[in-house]
Amino acid sequence: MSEIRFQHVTKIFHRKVEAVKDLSFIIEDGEYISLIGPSGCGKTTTLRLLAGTILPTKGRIFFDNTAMENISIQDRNIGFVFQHFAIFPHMNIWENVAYGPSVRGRSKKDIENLVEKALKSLQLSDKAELYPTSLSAPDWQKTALARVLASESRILLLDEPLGALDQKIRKEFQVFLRNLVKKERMTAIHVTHDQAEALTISDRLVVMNKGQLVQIGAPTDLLFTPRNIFTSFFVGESDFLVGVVVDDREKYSEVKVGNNIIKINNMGIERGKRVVIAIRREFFQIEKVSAEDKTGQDSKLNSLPGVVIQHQFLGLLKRIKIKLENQQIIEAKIHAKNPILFKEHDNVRVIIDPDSARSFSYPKEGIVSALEM
Amino acid sequence: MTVEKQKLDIELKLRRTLLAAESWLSKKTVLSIGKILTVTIFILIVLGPILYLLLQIIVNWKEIQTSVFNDPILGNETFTIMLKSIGLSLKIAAIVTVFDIIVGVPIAWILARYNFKGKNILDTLVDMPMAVPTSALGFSIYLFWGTNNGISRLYNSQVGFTSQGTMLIILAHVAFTFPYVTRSIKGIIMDLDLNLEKASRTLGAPPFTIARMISLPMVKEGMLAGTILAFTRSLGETGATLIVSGVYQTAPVVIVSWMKGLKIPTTAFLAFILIIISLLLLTSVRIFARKVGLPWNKVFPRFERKLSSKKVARTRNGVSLLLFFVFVFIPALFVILFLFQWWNKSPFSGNPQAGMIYQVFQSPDRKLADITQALVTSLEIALIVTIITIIIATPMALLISKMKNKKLKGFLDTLVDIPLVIPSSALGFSIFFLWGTNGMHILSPGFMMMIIAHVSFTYAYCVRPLIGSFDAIPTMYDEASSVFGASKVTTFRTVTMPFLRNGLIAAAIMTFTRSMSETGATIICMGTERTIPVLLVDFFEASTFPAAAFAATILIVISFILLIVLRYVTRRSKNE
Repeated sequence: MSEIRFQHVTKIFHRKVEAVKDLSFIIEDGEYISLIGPSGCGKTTTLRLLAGTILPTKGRIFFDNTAMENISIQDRNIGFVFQHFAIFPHMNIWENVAYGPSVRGRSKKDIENLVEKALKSLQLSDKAELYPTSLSAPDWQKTALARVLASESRILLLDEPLGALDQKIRKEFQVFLRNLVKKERMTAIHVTHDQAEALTISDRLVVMNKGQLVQIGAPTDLLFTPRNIFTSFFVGESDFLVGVVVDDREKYSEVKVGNNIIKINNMGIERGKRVVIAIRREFFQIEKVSAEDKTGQDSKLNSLPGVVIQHQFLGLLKRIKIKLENQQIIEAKIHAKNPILFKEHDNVRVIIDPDSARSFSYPKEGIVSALEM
Repeated sequence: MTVEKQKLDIELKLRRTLLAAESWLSKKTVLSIGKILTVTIFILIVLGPILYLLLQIIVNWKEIQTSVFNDPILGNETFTIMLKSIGLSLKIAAIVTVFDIIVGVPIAWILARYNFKGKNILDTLVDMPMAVPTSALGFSIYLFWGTNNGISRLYNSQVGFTSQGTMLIILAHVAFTFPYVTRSIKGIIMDLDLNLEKASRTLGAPPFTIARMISLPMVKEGMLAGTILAFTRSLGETGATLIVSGVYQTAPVVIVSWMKGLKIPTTAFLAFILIIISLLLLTSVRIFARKVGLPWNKVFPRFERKLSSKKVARTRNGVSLLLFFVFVFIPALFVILFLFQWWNKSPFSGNPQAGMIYQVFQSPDRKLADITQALVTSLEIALIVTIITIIIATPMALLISKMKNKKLKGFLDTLVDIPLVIPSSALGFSIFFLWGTNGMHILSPGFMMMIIAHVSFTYAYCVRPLIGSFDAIPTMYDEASSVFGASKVTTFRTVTMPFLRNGLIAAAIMTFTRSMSETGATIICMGTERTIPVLLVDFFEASTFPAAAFAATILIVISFILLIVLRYVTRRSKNE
């Protein structure tokens, strides 16, 4: 059992910098959690609070209902994989892996068993006698993990653990890491700036901004049902349309955007209120409109008229920039194999799927400051 | 099998006991006591004497006033001598520093940027005057410039090129202060990002302009630090100055001679003034180092392009090297040549009694016994001092390096530097004053007092590089160690110490050489015992030059060996 509970945790540095603000959430036993957010959002501070290298200014952290504030780093029994691995350069791989159990006063025999088992499960057995300087980044990574295994920690903290690896090895390690954590039944908290990595590797993600928890949920939750403007903006890519609710029926609301009315998921925003509609760029559908059919409005199709102003290849996808009637510019990402070729100045209509659009009430401080990182 | 098992059991028991002990030592209260102890020792050994001196000056102001300003016989003659000596010291230090910069900066540049055969040798030679005891250096320089054995032989003169006095003091001081400037600047030039220079090169700036506008402003702080060190070293030097000054007395020499005459109150006052001047210099540099800009932001494209031409660069390098060899290297080592000239007879009269062999090994006053005795004393003191200083300086360096409160850290950092800039004779006098009959009355001048004096002026030489060593250890290793279950003290033993090893060895050698070569404080605190640099001054004053040359050569050889070891150790730590 290794459940972690944050209870109103606040960390203030130098008496004024609020790195983490009133953080409360629970990580369940055996869960793989990722912390994501823009740099300076407090994710590394959160990790360090867990490790105990810093203490909360306010609030408490519990491991399995044990409060951590009086338990020092060395007694928390945490496994930590550092961004630059922190493999001790003056010890060989064997000694590095044996470090945890030997400073905890385990017997020689225990240490040998633990180290050998850890080295074996990371395929490092043949490198045990080598020194870190003669190895490369993937092996340091493995050593760092073996060191965690040998110290029998139930909680694994990872600070940008794959940052030093190149793209291809990184992908392999994501799978490897997740399998390892699940096999050893550890609870893992992983800090990364790489969204794709976080979405691949974790059971749930914690999105943070300005020291606060923005949303916590499974990858699909965050991608398809973001609960606020920031999450829809930060996870994946979205465009925002601003409108006014003119009708709110049972399932769908009707929203006036510019001079057009579109139908979207009713998310409980009252009639007459301003609304922000967030739509993933991959979910826009575009159709060409002939020159005669200039209005482009087709209530059945639930669409907005616009003009293509730029198109660009992105490998498997194509990016089409479109200026809508209300002068707002959106980007649609469509498959590169889409048979229709869009050119600049083409009149198009942008079809909106009412079920994949998310709507939020217009933030008091304005959209720009709501998205400010 | 059972024996094997017993062995394992014992190992486990020992390890657990050690870990438990370390864990106890890592307790907050224990660590706090350790910190307090560290700072207390620092205050007692290093700051205490200076503060006590200050206190005594205030308390006994009347007596000092009488002896300094209104002596019944001398009037304010004492004060006049004092002012004169301080003026002379400042003047000499200023000239010496300017010369150091003119020659030192180009040589630092050569050592940092050029690759050539023999670079390592030149590098060692440049550092050497720093390791050789100044009294040996001063004696060698005196022989070269001031007697008819040295340079004047080239033009067949019966007298030296210059006699004892200001000129000779300057020549001697340049030799041992110059490495401070070169070394500090060389280090920083080597750490500069070459891309910045390449960038300005692509923008069309000639090398001289780049050096002046891009690189030098970045080494400014280090240059200032090196300069101030050179200045204060010149201001406070005793050993060499005693030999080369003649009647022209600099302030530290006056301290020594008044001390010999037991004029305690006046000596105290002079020591105090010297300390104040040094402290003012140190703090003003600390405060203004960042604010001072280099002059001339203007560019003179044609002129500077000319200065950047290969020809000019080559000439400049050549001249700097020539100046280095003529003014530093050859005079500094001339004593060895002199020793061979005077090996068994005078080269002028052929008198064997004037030769080294007779004076050291055969003369009735048994100089060999004196030399051996002094050498043993020197080595004993240096060894004990090194051990004590390392033990008390390491925790201080750790404390400063890990300190989170920036203001307090800066303050302690400055305090630690104090003994670096204070003339050692003034520091030695403060120690005599505090521990001796005028103060706590615990010690009289002798072996123990010498050890305390040496610990106090070597302290900074030890703490300073160790802070650097601690700072260079990435914090992630400490964190990793504690995350995996090690207490703070265990972490220190298993992780920090291995990183620190070379830094510790380097600091120990620095401490050892400084202790071996010091003169000023030693003369004041020595009582009847002699260290070898002091014995050299005695021999010089007794005009037994060949014997002095013998002692000087021994000192040079010892320091040279230590220097080579030091370089080997520091180079290895860099490669790792």
